[in-house]
Amino acid sequence: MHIHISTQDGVPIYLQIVRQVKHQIASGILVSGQELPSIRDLAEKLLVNPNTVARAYRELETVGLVEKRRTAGTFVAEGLSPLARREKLRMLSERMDGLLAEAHQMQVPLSDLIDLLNQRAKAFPQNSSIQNPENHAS
Amino acid sequence: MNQPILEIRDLKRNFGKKIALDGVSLSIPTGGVFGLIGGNGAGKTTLLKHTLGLLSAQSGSVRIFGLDPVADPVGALSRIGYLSENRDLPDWMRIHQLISYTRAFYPNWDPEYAETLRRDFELDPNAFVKTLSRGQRARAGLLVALAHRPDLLILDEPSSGLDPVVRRDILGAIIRTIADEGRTVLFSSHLLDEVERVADRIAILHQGRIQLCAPMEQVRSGHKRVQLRLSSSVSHFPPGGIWIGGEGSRHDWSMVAEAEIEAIREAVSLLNADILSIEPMSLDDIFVARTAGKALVAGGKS
Amino acid sequence: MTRPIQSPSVMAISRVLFVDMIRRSWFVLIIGFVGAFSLPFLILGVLKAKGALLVDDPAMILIHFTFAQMMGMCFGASVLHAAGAPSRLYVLPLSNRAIMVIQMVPATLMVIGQTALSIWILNLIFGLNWPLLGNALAFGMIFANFQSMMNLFQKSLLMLPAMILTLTLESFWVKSRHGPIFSLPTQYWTTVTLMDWLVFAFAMTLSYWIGMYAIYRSRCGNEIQTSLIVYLSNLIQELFGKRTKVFRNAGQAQSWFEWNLKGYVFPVIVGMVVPLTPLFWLFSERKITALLEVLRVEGWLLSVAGMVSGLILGNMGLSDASIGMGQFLGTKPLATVSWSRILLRTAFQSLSLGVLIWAIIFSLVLWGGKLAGESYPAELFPWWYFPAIVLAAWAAMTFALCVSLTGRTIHMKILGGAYCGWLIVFTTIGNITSKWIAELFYFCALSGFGIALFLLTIGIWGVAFRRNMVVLRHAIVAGIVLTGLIGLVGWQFSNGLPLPTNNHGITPYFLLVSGLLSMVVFPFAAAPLALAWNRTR
Repeated sequence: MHIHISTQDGVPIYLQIVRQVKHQIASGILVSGQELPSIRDLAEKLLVNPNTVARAYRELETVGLVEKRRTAGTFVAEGLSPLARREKLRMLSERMDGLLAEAHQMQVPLSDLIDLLNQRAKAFPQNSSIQNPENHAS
Repeated sequence: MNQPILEIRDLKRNFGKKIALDGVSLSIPTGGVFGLIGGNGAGKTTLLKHTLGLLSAQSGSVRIFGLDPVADPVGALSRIGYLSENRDLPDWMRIHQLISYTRAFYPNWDPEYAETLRRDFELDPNAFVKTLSRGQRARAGLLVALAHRPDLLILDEPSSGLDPVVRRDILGAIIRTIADEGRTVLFSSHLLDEVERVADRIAILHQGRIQLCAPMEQVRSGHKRVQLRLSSSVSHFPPGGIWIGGEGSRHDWSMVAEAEIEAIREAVSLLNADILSIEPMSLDDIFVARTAGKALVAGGKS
Repeated sequence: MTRPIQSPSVMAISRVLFVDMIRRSWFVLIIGFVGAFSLPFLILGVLKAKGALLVDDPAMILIHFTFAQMMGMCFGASVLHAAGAPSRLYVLPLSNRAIMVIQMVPATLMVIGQTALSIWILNLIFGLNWPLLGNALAFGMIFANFQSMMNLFQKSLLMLPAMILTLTLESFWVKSRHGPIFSLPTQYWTTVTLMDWLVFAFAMTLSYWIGMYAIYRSRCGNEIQTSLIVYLSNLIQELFGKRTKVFRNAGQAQSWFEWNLKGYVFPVIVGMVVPLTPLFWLFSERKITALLEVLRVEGWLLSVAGMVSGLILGNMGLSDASIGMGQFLGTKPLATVSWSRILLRTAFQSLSLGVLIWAIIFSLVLWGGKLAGESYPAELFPWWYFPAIVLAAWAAMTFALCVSLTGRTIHMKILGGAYCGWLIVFTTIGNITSKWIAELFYFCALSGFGIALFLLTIGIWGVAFRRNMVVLRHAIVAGIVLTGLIGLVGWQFSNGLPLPTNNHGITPYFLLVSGLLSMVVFPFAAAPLALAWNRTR
């Protein structure tokens, strides 16, 4: 499981972990029943405080994405498809909110925005394999 | 677990005319990582030396594990692992001599762990300390500080002047230390992104005083950068209230506030201004805003 | 000597580096100075008090010659250490020639200056008229040669034969300026002839070129290396380097630390001087009684060597520039009292080894002489001689240990200055004031000094007792020992004063010796206090 932490943009570390795990579950990199690294191992790997990792895991547990099995560790929850879809939509709507706010600031009307979206969708299959690593953090 | 491992009360220290510590009070809980941050010359090293019994309190008190480190150096120091800022190690010793020498002082020394560390850090047992590079020296110092599994690990500017690989070793050591139950790490640094990653609590030491002492999350979430647009142009931003610092000119201001979002909205509406954005801040920015602090002026940093 | 320097920047750099050298190595320079100065003062002072200081006596020539050698060596050794290696200059924008000059000239001038100045001061104080120039220049020359050779052969076995050869040639030449080479010196080196100047010039030029070659090779990392020495050092590493010591406790570890770093100094100093004495004696004169007399004096001089070693033993600092305790040692979980005991034990071991070396040489000469049919007058070695020199060396070493153990730079500098000042005042007072004031001064000084030392000891023990660094048992033992020693001295004095004739009577000497004896027990209380003062600021 690869996670990248950045201290530059002010996003709390635990939140970065939560988002990236959610993203990986949503995009199928992490599958149901897969074991996540122990809190200590992940903390050592990322070089962050174990309490931060613990908080992230707790958060993920609260939303039902992972479950903690007492002696065995932390695992991705079973039967995640409906949750995964809900999560996917939620993440995308977060991005959309950001996009809408920017457009509002730049005073670009909604109709222009939708046109732009259609345009980019048509051009999309050529760009599908390119993934901008900067987008993973948020 | 609830007893503070280090308790400093109203510590004052001056060197001749220079006031290094001006009434510092600090209580460091057992377990977890405590980050002491401050600029160069803020007094961090002086404070740490008091905890080790190298300086005696001119007024106020220092208690570590409930002991006075000046009166009982053996009791205090045998449970502390210390890495000094200047990596003070005897140049004339070989690594294996350094290890066997230091080992004799600590009953809790774990020779297998020491050997594991030595191999991980790639330290040649026959090399003279004098011939080590800076990074290797730091690693050697870290080895002898960690191998006896101290209850309290004190690091004074551990990453200064070191390459990223060695810095990772040090951060890794900090994390492994507190991952073990009940152990504590106290480190001073001005590399704030590192502090941000590993600290549970931080204290800002500025000009000999503690400016701030709080859990890391509270500090991070409590400070926000607010971009405002004022309805009327001003040359000086009205000071006080929730505003700690900031910069800008005329209508557009980028301010730092320590408050909840509601309080910020209220304050902004009182100023008859628009909020353009409220953003979280990195620890770096928080530190600069808190310590560069003078009156808020137009155009320049405050 | 060398040509004058043209470039102003080299001058400026030279000045800065010279100041830097003093600041970095003031500790070593002070030790060298203190060691070099104490010897002549002690001996000349005693001679003068005996009334045996006859300026024009031919015997003075030998004394002058010996002192000149001693002082030259002391100053040379300390400046050699202070000057350091030229490698620290390699990254500066300096040509090889500039580095050579910066390295050699200030240091050589320092040796010449110190030697000349010391002889001049001795002349002033004791009313001698010893010549300055010859010996001073000679030692400058020897120093410069030594320095360049060290730089050239530092990694090579050739260093040993090269040094021995140079030293032998040049010392024979210096000896020859004082009379026939293989007998006692018979003349002062009053005039420096043209031939002398030519020899100086030649030797300095040789130094210069050797040094240049050394820098040329070492600056690009291409030093002269004997592959044999590299092979041997690897072999030694293989055999011994890997052996890990296991220390049972902190005390053992710290004892090992102190001994390895500083404990060997006293035995090495003694070992370098005492065994060579018969050698020098063979070259100058061959009467065994004379050699024994010299060895007897050397027994007393163990105290001076002890003082120098004590200063080094107490230095807890990281480098020569700072004698305060570093953080590595300061954070070791070792109680101050245990630590001070370890230091005193190391001093004792160091002292024993050095005294043993002296005793062996001494006994060999003594019994060798007896076998050869010599007979000695009984008063040459009274019963108290051996215990006295051991106690004196112990007191000197441990007092110096306590002084440098405080780790307080300023205090040490002040104390060093006061020591020299006191020596000067003590020996010159007879010249400046009238006789009866001088008599009174000596009476008060000797008695007062003795009483002061005694009271100091009692005071320090009191402070240590109050701070729980010593217990009643220790105090009682110390008290018994001291009383016993003073009693012995009193009894011996009452039988007759084995001391120079004087008008002062027994009392001041008794008080003085009692005071000095109390310094035997002084360190047991002072060392932990000094260490505590050093450790926590």
